Amino acid sequence: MDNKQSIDTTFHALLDAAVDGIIVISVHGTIEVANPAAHVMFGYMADELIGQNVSVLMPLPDRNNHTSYINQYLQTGVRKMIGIGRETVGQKKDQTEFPMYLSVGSTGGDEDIRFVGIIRDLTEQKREHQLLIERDQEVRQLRERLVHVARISTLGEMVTGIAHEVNQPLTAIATYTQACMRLINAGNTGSEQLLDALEKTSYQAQRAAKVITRIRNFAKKSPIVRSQYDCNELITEVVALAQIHAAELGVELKLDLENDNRPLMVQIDVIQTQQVALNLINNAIESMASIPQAQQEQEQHVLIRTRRCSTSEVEVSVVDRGEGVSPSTQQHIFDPFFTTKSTGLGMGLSICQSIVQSQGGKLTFKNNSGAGCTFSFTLPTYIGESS
Amino acid sequence: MSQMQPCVYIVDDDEAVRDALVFLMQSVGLSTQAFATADEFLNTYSDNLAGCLVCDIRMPGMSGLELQDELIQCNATLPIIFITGHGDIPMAVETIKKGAQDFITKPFRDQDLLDCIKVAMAKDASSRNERVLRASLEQRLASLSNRERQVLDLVVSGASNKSIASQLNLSHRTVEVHRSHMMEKMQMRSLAELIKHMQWVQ
Repeated sequence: MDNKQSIDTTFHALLDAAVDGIIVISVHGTIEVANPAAHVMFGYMADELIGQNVSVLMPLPDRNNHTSYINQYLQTGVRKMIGIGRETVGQKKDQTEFPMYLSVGSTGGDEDIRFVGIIRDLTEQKREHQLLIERDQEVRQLRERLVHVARISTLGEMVTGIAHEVNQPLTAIATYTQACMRLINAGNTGSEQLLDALEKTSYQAQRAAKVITRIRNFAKKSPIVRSQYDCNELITEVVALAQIHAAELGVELKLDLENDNRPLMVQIDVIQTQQVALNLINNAIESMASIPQAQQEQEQHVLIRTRRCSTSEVEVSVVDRGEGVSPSTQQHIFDPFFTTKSTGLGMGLSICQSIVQSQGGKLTFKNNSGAGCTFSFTLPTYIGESS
Repeated sequence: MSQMQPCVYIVDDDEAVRDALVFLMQSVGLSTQAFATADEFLNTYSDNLAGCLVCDIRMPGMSGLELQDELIQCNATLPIIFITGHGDIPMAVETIKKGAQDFITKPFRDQDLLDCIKVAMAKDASSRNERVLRASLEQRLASLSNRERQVLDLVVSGASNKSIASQLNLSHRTVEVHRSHMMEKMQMRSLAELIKHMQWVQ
């Protein structure tokens, strides 16, 4: 075997074995060499591509531009493609298109310049990438759905209290109107009393509607939106909701809001953050209510506190005087399906932690030196367009 | 004992419900007094309150059930009608067992509540009358001399004057005098009336 033959053999071995497609074209775009991988990739029979113009491998409009690219390069030397690689689209013999990575090099002098294209089929890679994106989306959607289910479940545990909260204005309405009817039947139609009672009736209807609106806003399924919101306002709103549960179990709620004469703006999803707060407050209420009356201390309320703890963080704390967290509970407290309650899924704190973390905050707890425990979570401060 | 005007005492922590109840009572001409907490009512409570108590079960601070316990401690006879937002049967049973007059769930038909109140107030009036009568009987009994009391006990047990005379070692005439004084002090016109009234004080 002479030297030339040996080089030829090696060259063909290289072309045959290459996983990537390798194509050599003339200055006019005629395919001079195309290895088996290139043929398979584009759906051609062996050597079918040889002699064809390379533009058959390109979908429109690349096909039309290709010749002008080559001419431009030859005339000006400006390299649009040469020496670099990029993602593009190839066209198979059956006209279907596929994603590919193409790198082009040139070889030879001015007279016998040729271009070498190396092509990698990206179909599989793209599909995997797409799958990953879809799976990621699915996970995110599932998580959002779980958070929503947990929110509904929290409301579900408050249902007795909610019913009571709506029943009170309804009772007032029924009683006012029945008394009005009695007055009218007795001929007291012109009395100012009547007007006064009707006014109060209407106010009670609005009161009932407000409860419903508050519940509905909290229960609705809404996409996660990070917006800037005053943390004090957020907490005040959610405490109105927690009040329902507190009244039901006979526990008092107290607010201690940061008051540094600046709005306590945070960048969060409002409903999910309220979900965290409501969960923690409800837990505190239930913990306090579970302690027998005789053992209760004087200070009987749950304290909800907001503090600006740095330029970048706001902290919300819920302090109770309940039973505290036992050592055996502490290490499992954020585990999904772990619960010390007789009702509930055991998902509350696990979901709270996931919500807080997804917003870039931390959820922590500690037992108080006296009775009960404190759960705190941080929220990122909203840094406005530089003021 | 000074009697107060019968009144519907209302204890409910919900301002609107309380106000509406007062309005309903006024519309039918009942006098009312309303309280936001059980404690406020207890501060006002005295034995001579007449009428009935309409009380919410679930309240912050002292609950309706606890108020009932407090009133039982004071031997109060004021009838209690509980109103609650929950058809909580075990709770209702407990209050009734402890002597509550009635139990009504919110929202209620005004006539149902007013009927309950009417029954409760009638019951309170009659138990109050009985109590006044009993007190006056006891007063009359206390005014008797030892001899007169002995004669009364024997008369009530069915003894004849002759038998009393021999049991107390007195003359027939003396027994007659004691008996006549006793009947006068007791303000009784007949033996039957005396026996009937004495059943109340035993």
